[in-house]
Amino acid sequence: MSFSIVPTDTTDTPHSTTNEPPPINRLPPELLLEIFQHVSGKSQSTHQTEAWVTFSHTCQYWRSIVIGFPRAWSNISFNHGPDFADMLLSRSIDSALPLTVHLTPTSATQADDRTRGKATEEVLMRALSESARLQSVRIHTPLKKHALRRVLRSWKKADQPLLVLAHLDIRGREGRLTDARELLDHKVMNSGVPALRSIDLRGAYIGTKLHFQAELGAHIQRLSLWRVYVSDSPDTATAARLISVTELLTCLKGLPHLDDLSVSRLLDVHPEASFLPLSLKNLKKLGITEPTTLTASMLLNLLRIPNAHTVHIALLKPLRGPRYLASLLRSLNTAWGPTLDDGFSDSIQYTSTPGEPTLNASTLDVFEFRSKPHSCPVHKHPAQILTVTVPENPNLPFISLLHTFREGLNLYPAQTISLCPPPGYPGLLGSPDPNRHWYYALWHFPALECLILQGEAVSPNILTIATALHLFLSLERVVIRRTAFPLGLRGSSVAPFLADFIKQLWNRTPKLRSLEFVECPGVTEADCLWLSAQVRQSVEIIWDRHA
Amino acid sequence: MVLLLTSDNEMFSVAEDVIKRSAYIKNMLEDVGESDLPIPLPNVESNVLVKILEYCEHYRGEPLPASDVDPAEIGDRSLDIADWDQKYMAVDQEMLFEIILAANYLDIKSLLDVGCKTVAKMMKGKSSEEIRTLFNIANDFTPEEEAQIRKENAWAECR
Repeated sequence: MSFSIVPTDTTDTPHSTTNEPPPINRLPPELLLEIFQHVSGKSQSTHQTEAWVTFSHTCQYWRSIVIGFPRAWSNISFNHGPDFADMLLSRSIDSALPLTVHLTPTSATQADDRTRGKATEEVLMRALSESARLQSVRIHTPLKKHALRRVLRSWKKADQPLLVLAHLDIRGREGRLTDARELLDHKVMNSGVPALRSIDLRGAYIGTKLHFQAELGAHIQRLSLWRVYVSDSPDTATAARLISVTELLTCLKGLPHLDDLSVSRLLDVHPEASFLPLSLKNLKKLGITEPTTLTASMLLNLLRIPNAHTVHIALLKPLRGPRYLASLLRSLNTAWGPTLDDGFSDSIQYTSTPGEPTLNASTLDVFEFRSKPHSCPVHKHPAQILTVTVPENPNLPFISLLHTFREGLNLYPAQTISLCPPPGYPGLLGSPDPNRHWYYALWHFPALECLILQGEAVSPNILTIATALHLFLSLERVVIRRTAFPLGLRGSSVAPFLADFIKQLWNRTPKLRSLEFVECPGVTEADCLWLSAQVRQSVEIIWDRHA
Repeated sequence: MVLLLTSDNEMFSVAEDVIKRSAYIKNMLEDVGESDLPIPLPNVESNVLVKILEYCEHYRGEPLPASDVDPAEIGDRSLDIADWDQKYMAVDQEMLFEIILAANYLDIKSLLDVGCKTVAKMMKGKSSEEIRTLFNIANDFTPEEEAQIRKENAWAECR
């Protein structure tokens, strides 16, 4: 122990009196509030509000603390009735706190739905009547279209300023789109919303005049349009169509400070139509989710995004072939600009993360790679591959993919490559054209330091891999992961080859430090000990069954 | 070594690097400089200080948490508590709340956080009645307040 008790003159200190409060109520309000916030959690949900109600029903001391804490009541829940909403509004009314309006879909019966719809409409009207202190409006609606339209129309007519509204997030559902035209046209685009920073629309209708007046769009930093339809017809159901690439560009012209743009399901323009590219110098992040590469390429060809550091492209259908990927990558390079050499691209992600749950994304391709600024003085788009994962896709030979990436994005300085060939991949050997071997593709990565090989398709090709390794002068680490060797290393045909090969690596991979077998069925610790004895001391054979 | 004088007049001699987990003591030492005079802790009794020092001793040498983080900016409030902290907090309620009060007074943010999380975990998912029983809190609402609470419960149940 690093402390000791020093003897002192002790005097009796008066202790407890009979009518003391319970120990927990000796805590001052700020500590009780800290505890309450831990219990309620930070996420906006009805459970959070219910927790605060529980605290307020415990004793007078707690009730006075909780009712005097406006933030606790700023989450207007539509799962309760209008009276409850009134209570929340009155308890949060003196604060300048954000008021989030959140409607969540329900699975009620039709009759219930009608009742709930009416009650919800009433609650929404009450909440929207507090326009002056709405900081974010998130409408994820189960409401019938006409009910919501009635509400939004009333809101439009109400001449109340939206002084602090910063986030507008309106989402409909497949088959039940939200009509956001009046809200956007009249409240957002044509009247003062000085604090607006982000707009997120999903499954919604908007008007065709998607144009922000200069002063209104000046502060908007984030725009997300996900399956947004345009229509000027009262009969939206028949007249609506997806927003087109050109309409999007018109919209973007009014948003000079946009730094985060995310779009999905745009309507193509005619390939021969001519448009001047739009420069978005402040854009840092771009997300494009499209069924195929066509629309994504088209949009990229019309954008100049010199300072973007993250581009996320998700294709909702399997890539049709390397030619399409090459076209996409060319467009990407065009969008970045031909003369940039200042390490602008920190991260490029091309992934199939399914964002639209209604689409079957089981056959999507996944590629992730990331660039590293200033890593290569020669190439203008230096990049560092992190992961290339290719699920089974008959349209996409693995080798072609690698070539395409290499040619399309200047991945020469890549330092780490992680490869997961598809199960049952026909093999890395025996190709009639030696240049089609994937390891020759890897040869063009002179800075490669770490090679990670994963999956069942690796073991049949281990001899080829072993042969290829000597091509990498910078290679320090090879990891073989989740690859089965049915006979282990000693019993299999690869054993003598691996041992012989590693012995000869001194001059070929002078920097090789470790060869790791991670979660490889069949490979035992004894195998790795045996292999260690075969190789030079500076190469460590690592066996990790459980990593 | 730093001398600390508790509210019940016990004097403790504590290694400086142990007690510096307390931002209050750390600031005081920086302001006052070296001194032979004990630092009075009128809000902390000796049995509580022993417990506090046990915590500081355990985390001796570990980096202090950043002090300029706005709690409102912290992400979702997780109720995860490290194993050792859970065992440390396995005390009676009297001591638990004394530890929280002392951690607040001495400005030991990590300990305060563990204390608050411990109490929060005890409360999580409980009704007001169950919370009253748990913490021995009397229902001191007036009949008017009771009526209002009944109304609020009815509104909350109206879905």
